[in-house]
Amino acid sequence: MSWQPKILAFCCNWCSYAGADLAGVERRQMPPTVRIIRVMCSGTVDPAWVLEAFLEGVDGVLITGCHPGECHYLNANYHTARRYRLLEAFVKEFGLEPARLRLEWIAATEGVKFAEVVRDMTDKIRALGPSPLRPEEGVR
Amino acid sequence: MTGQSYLAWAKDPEIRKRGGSGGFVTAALIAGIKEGIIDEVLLVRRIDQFESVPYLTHDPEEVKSASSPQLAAPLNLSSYIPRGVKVAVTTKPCDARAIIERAKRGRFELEDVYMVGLNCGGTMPPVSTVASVRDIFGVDPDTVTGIEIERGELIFKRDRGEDLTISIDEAEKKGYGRRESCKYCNTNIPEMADLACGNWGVPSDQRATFVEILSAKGEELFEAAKKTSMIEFEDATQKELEKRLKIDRRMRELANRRWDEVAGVLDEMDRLAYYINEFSRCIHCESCKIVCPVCVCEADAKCLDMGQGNNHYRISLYNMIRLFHLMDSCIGCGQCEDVCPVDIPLTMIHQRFERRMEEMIGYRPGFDLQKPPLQKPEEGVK
Amino acid sequence: MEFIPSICPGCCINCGLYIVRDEDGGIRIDYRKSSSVNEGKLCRFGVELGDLYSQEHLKATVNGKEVDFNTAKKEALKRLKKTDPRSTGFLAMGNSTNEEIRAFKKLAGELGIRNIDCGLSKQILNVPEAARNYLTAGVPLREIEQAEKILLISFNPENYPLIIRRLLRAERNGAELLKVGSGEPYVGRGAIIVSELAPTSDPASIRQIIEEADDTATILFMKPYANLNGAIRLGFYGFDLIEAIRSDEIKSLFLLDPPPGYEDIFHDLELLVVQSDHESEVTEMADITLPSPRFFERRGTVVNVEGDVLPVGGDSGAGVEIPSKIIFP
Repeated sequence: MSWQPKILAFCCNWCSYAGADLAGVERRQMPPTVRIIRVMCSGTVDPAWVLEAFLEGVDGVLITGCHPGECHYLNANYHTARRYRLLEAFVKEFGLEPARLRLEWIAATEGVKFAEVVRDMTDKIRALGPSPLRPEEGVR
Repeated sequence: MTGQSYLAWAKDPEIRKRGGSGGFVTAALIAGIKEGIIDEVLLVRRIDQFESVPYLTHDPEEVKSASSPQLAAPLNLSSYIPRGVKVAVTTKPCDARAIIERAKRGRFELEDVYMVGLNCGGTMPPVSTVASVRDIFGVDPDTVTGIEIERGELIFKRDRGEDLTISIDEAEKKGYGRRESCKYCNTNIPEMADLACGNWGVPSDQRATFVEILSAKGEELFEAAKKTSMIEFEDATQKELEKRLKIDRRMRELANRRWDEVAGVLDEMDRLAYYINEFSRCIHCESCKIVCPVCVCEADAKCLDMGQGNNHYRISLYNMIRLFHLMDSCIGCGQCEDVCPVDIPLTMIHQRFERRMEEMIGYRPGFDLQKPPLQKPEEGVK
Repeated sequence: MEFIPSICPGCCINCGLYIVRDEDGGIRIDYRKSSSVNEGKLCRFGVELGDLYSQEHLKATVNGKEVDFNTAKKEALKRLKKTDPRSTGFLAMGNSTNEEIRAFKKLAGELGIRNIDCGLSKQILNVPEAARNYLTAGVPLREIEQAEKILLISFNPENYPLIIRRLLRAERNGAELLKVGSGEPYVGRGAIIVSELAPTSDPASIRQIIEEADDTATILFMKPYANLNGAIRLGFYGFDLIEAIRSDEIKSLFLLDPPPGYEDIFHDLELLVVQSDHESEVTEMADITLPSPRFFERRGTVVNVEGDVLPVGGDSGAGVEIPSKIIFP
């Protein structure tokens, strides 16, 4: 089989994690590229985790959370949004391709959207090839 | 009044003569102690003409004898500020910015710190400065009694023999002169401090300090100096105001040009490869973190906690976390680069990240008490 | 907040630094940017020096029991006098000032003890006497930056991190930088040769480096402790004590400022006297311990990598007085 990117997805317990589940239940077609970490809120995603994931050798990081105004914890996803803007600037300055990092708001009902995002992100990263930050010994 | 500018000088002729420009700073600090506005003064004290250390005192006589050796002091005083006392600090712009960032992070109350700002055209690294006296002029560095920068000239004062003068441009072309981070620093007037003092704008035949009052605390100190008759002063004229701003503008232009030279080359480069290569030398001595004035996490810092031992990474997580954390707080003071044992151009690198953040988010660290973006939710969507 | 200019005892580079005493008595380091050998920069050892100096200070003890200083001193003299000089040794591995080593050597002489060693006797004695000055030749580190050719012979720069930036600048200035393994052939003409002289170094290879170098080459031997340059220049060598202790030839030992890493060899000694500034595994097994001031508190000098004689920074002469007063109380 040709090279498949590895994408790490942080999914919010209250929305996108259920969304991802729904995508599976509804048998939406998507490539097997995503490893999901469930978090209680996208606002808990520490940028250091994202950096660590890249250093460990993932080819892309997807952060997903509740739509604006629908956060289970009132406004934590606005913190996510601000941190993401910094991460975006960081990745750009660092010289990593911007397509390797993505933030999406996905509701529990949006299995279709989850599958679509994964498909699209996979295509884009596949075009880029493996991450230049991947350790020489490969991904653990 | 806040916003007002004066030409001021110490009444005491000795203070006036010893001070960098008219002795206003020394006079105001002493007045502050005498009037009970401040408990302590934190300043840099000369060990010799090339070296200074931070010094905390409440003795007016000691303030008087400290004079102004800031050129020879590539220090950042913000880390030496005592907690819980009213303290006046002589601050270069990077000191003042660091103080504001540390106050934001709860190290002390900004209300307790009186920042007597000093205009700054850059500081000098002691070792190469000593070497420059020998290498450029063939003169024994021990004969130098003081260093000054005036109108683009670097002047080594000597008691015996003539002063040694070289233009800063020329000295820097030869690899001497100011610290690298000072060359591209474009904050020369400490507008975030309580007072901004310096000789820019002062007519060359007058021994006086150009003082701009920037806050109520600054006004308090100025009033104390007036009340104790420590100073004499007059309003700054329009011409003097303009002259000062012109010098500032010129310094900024030069700094920005320098920035384009040293950091601009990275624009078109494979930056990832560049950063990996530079950080590959890191020996994790953690000095950059220890001296960083805006880092207040101490021993339980995330960069240390998460950054230990992942040897197979292309860049250590320690460095990555520091790069990210400083993105919204690096003030470009150059302390990290000064102490890096393997010569990683840390300040330039952190400034590249910080300046990009500034461009995107419009936030500049060290100017006011506004929370940094990392601690603040995205605006407009709340 | 008191700033004491001092130097790092971590290796022969002797980086300049400040020892800062806070109001609450805490000791930490600060960066001394005017120090020419390191321009204020430090490796991890220097950065953590504050922890070392904050360690428990050594107490005067005899047979593990705390005693007053004079009792320990008298007891040391009494027991040292009783030993057979042929099976007694004086070991100072270069963590002391020139003045302390000189006093220590003098005490050995007074007691008729000829087995003195700085841990490098094996290597030094293997080099012809006329060539021994190469072992401690000082080389200004700026010269490395300007070298055309640099040979690193059995030398790992990571053990001396402050050398790395000099090598890097040399490379940037167009220098040819070659790593040579032990026994591998090389051409040393016009080169700066950097190698290491440590207790573990192969004596034959040290001798070979000196023999093969001609007048056009500069040799720099890096050493792992603070003042081995001083110890060698003061002639504190003559007998391979480390080997002799291992083979039980030496039964009594006076140990001055031991470095970590040699704990296992001192177990079976009949008499072990240790002068040191902090408690360690070695002081715990000692019969008699004599506390000396912490390194930065000592009044004295060391010879650094550049061949400069540098003050350590303190004003206490106690470290010198212990050996001198043992014999002349």
